[in-house]
Amino acid sequence: MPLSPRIPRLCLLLTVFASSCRPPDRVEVEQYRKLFRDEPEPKAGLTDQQRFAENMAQQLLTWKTPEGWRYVSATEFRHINFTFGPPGEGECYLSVISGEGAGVLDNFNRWRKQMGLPPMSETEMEQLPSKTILTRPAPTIDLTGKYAAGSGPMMQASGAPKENWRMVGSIFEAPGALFTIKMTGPKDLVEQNLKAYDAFLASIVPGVAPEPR
Amino acid sequence: MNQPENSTQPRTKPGFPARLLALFASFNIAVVVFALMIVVTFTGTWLQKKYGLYDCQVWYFESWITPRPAWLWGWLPLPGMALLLAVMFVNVLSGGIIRIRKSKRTIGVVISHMSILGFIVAGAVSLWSKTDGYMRVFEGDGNSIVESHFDWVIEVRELKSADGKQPAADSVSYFPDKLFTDCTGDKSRTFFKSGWPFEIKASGYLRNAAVVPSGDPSVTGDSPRQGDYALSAIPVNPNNERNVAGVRVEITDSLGKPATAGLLNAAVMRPLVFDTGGRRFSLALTRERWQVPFTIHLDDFRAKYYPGTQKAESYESDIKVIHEGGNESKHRISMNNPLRDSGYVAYQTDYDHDSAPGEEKYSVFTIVKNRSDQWPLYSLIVCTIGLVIHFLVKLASFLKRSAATAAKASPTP
Amino acid sequence: MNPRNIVAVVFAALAGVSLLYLGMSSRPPEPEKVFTAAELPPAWKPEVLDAFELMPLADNDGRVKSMHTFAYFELLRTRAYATLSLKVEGEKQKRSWTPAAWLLDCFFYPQFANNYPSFVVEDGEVLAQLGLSPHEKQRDRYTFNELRPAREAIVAAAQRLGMKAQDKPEEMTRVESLTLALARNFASYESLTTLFDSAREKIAFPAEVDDETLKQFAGKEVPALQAFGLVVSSPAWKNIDKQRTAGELATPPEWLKGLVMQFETKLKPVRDLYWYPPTAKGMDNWLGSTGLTNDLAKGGLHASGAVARLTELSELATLATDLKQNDAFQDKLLAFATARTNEAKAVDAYGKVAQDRAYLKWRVFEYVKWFFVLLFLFTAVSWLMPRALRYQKVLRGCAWVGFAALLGGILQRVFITGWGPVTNIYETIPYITLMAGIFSLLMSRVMKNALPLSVAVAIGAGGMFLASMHEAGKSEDTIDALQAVLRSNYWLWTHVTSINLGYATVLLAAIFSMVYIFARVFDLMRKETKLFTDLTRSAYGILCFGLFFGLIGTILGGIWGNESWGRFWGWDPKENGALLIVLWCLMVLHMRLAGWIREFGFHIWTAMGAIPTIFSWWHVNLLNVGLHSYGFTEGLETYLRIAYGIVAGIVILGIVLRFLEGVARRQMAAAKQALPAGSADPA
Repeated sequence: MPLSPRIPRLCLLLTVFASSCRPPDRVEVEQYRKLFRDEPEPKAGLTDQQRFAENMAQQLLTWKTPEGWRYVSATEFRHINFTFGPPGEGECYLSVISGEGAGVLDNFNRWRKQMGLPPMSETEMEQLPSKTILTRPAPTIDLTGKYAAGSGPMMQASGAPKENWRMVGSIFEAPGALFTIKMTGPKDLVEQNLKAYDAFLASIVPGVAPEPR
Repeated sequence: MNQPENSTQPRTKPGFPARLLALFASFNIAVVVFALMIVVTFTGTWLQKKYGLYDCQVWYFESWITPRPAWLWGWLPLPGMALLLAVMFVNVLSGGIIRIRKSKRTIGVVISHMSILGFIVAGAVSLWSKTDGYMRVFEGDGNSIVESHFDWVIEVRELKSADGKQPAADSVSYFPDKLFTDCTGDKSRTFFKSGWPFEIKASGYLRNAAVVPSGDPSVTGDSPRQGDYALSAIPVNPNNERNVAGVRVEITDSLGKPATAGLLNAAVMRPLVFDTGGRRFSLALTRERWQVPFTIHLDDFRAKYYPGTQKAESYESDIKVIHEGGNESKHRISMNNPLRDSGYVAYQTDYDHDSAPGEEKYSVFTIVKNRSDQWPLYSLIVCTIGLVIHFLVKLASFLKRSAATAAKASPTP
Repeated sequence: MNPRNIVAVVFAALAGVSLLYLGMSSRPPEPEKVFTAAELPPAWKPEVLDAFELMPLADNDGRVKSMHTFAYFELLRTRAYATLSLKVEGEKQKRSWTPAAWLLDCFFYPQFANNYPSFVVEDGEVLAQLGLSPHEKQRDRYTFNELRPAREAIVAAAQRLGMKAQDKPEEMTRVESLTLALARNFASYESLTTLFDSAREKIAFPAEVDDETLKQFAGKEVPALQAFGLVVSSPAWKNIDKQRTAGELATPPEWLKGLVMQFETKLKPVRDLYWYPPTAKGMDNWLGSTGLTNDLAKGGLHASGAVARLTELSELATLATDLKQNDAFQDKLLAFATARTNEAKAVDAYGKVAQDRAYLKWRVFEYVKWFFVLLFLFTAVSWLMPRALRYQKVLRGCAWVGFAALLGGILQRVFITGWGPVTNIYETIPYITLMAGIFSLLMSRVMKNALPLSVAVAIGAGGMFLASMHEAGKSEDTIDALQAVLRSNYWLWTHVTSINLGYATVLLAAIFSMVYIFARVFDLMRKETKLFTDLTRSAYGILCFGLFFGLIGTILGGIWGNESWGRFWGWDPKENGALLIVLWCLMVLHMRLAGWIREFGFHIWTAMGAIPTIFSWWHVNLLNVGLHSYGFTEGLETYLRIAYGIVAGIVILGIVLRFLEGVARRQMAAAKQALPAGSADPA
């Protein structure tokens, strides 16, 4: 017996039927459930920065991304992380070093070493200009030279040292933690972004720490 | 051996119902269905290597017609297994049970055909009504909330308003991901509910995504954005349990003006909270969750490992089931030994692999509610009985025949 | 042409091809080198070997097995043959090493063992790429010392190719796969020969040692392992340890610091063999020498006897280096192995180790294989000489004996594991061989024809060859420590046995149909009508059995799934493979009922049924998704393609023949119509 012609026709019909059942553009929500016992209530008033916080620093602080800067993912040592200018050139990031890390001077000297400069003394440090972050004084260095990142422990050297580079960095102390902000890039690019740097520092305010879930 | 039933003597022309039945009962349909089932099963198996089990299951085995992404060579749709099973059901019912010549010789065949109907019905019931999820319980703790393995929902919950005048709701509205998985890119759909002073427009759905800062290199022009953040697409994992969905929502108030917008991602634990019309709501993308009418309390979990390895030889949980009425019962669940209680089945599925052996902190149970739970077993029993009867009938006739041939072959002198 | 002769020719051709294949794939000939007595270590005393073979070991697959089993698979993997035999100067017969003897030589006489041709290299190209110069023969055996100059390249290759094999297995070339295998064997071998290094190599106690228990060793050299035991249990060490645990800043004396530094360089094991049984009944804390040192330092459960054990190992290894004291050494080794066995027995951890050794010693499957090969040859001869058919009964009896022995081997495994006959992919082979063979023999009785008997014998030989190829190919223990979900005898005996019986019977039906196609090709029909009717009835009957077992087995599998993880059917490859077979059987049977196919068509479709069966039995394991993917088999794809190709070839042959026959029949009918009256024989 040959195949009934009805079968292919039926298949065609079903294909049309199956491909046409897309939900409408407006749908009324009908499903609901009772609250679970002890279902925690979500915290109101959180900013996106707090909702999407990648680490503790982002939970503790609120900031504004300066005009022209690109806000990028945090890394292990860069807790609030930006780039600017052509790719791989301008960088600025905030790190929080908690616990018994190195002191302010140690960090400044580490940075100086990255720029190929000799360490400075405590008194030299006291004479550094200071910016204000979160109402606290933040001594700031401004260095120009040959930049070789990653001279510190646990960091891999990222390529050849960069000539004619500039670094602006501020450190301020809070109880139990050091906050460091560091901007690096080609001399001219950094010059153009000094205002943005200041704007970033000024935008930092304490956030409302959400309860851990 | 059964002969095709078209070798009957001329009769009066059968009526329409009889002709329809004959059409449905045809062996031709049976053969075509089997052949198509083989094609679909093979394709759906072969492509699992590429697309993973979950997608192939949805495309080939749970569909009526395979959806567009599953078309072979981009243009050939196949009938889905659900359709083939439905056709088979009609075919078996009309051909293998109603229309088959009933005699001592066919009784086994009829019985086994009936069992096939049982399997198909059991499959259909489980496909459309089974609930299935997992429950993680820590030692010394209890839990009654089951989380789906795969299904996402957007939950909308009314909280106490900012001025404290509007009370929090005691229920959570939600809508399932199948209503917004097609809202990719600019495609959108609006969700509303009477009593809500707002509407939700969902768009930019991504099956596997992470919220990242908008300047991140993984963000492309197509990535859904909101403020400083964007949803960046992650390649879909063939193991569907690993995918984390993301979607962009826009809220418009009762006047149709945009109120707020945000990104929802299942990995983000903090819901989007917004105020509109003097009321406060939260929105979250989570796994579908439901509460079962009992609490499982984990008294003790034990795993035994093969010497010198992390390979479990066996693992089991001592649990207390506390029903809503308050009555308790103690049980032990292990691999291959589930607990059936009040319509639910609890299976030992997994445990804490991160802790050292002997210090596992939690146990994971699969909690299933399936009305057709034991139907395949019953069908199997019927099927075996039918086939054994048929075998015995055949054997008897074979023996009779060979006795006859033997008698013929050796004629008495 | 006499049909018998044709069958005989086919069989002889099959036998010839198999023998040719055997000749080609057999182990490469041993190197011609003749060893002098001075190049070989003292032979092991039989009682020492016996005790060592029976010593228990908790291997890293989680199974407690005999040392013999461990050594067997190590040697098999490295050498592609589980015996080492060497020509020795002045000895007529080759001297041969059992796996245990080889392993002991690796442990205690690496300087000799490194000159044994222990490594099989499948392709000289592998060595050329590693910067070595290969032997003339493409496939040959090499010594460790020959490979050693390329050690760095080998280690690098292991790392690079290991990663590639994991990330992009489909991009691995043949030479790369072989290189990776060689590199892994090299590392494994090296870890065995250096296992006793820390017990052999000495460290020097400084003269200024200042400790009451260690003073006696001041200025002396002591094996590192023993020294570690002594130092860790000395008051000086314990004092420091106490200070440390109390959180104080401990300043060890200089001499102790020096010792610790020496330990750090000398106690660097790459491998640990767990031969120290648990400390108490019901425990599973098996340890090796490294584990023992860690345990001692931590004060674990094994710590109390650890010092004595480390000393024992050190003395053993030191004694071995002095060949003059070989007698004493072997006695000590005997005592060492016996002690481990007794310790294990004392805490009920010895299990079935003795039977485990017996299984690999008896090699039942190996003998069954050669027995069937022999029977196969006899069968081929019997077809050539019609008179020999009188001895068919004898042949059939022999075949039954062969399958009974095969059953014996399977039962031996069941006895050792305590689980059903099939728990992994390897075990499906003897089981399916047995079942298909028995069914074929039964058919031979029903049909009263010798053809199924020959089929049974061919299945027996082919199946057992497949089994030994699989064993050698993977060179891993063929008994598994079962995953928790599989540990259910109820389901292993019901679902697994019936589904594999389904595979066996569908495959057998396919083979019968292939025989039918061949018989038809040689046009035997005219002379042997009964044979054709019988073949059709048998194939049909066996296919029905296949459907029965396949269906029941598949559904039982679903029910098992529902009992283990709450879903009856999950559409994973293994389940779908079984479903494919069931659907195939149903389709063929219903095609027949629908009148789409008759005798020849039925055989063509049944023969094709071998493809879904092979797919389900082997191929789905390569898809590697879902809950069933327990077995992983490398290099299988090529073999599968060949198998599909053979089946497809036979099927196409059938189709072509059927077409030609149809044409001929039509021509005949036309001719008949042209003649008003005539009679043609019904085809």
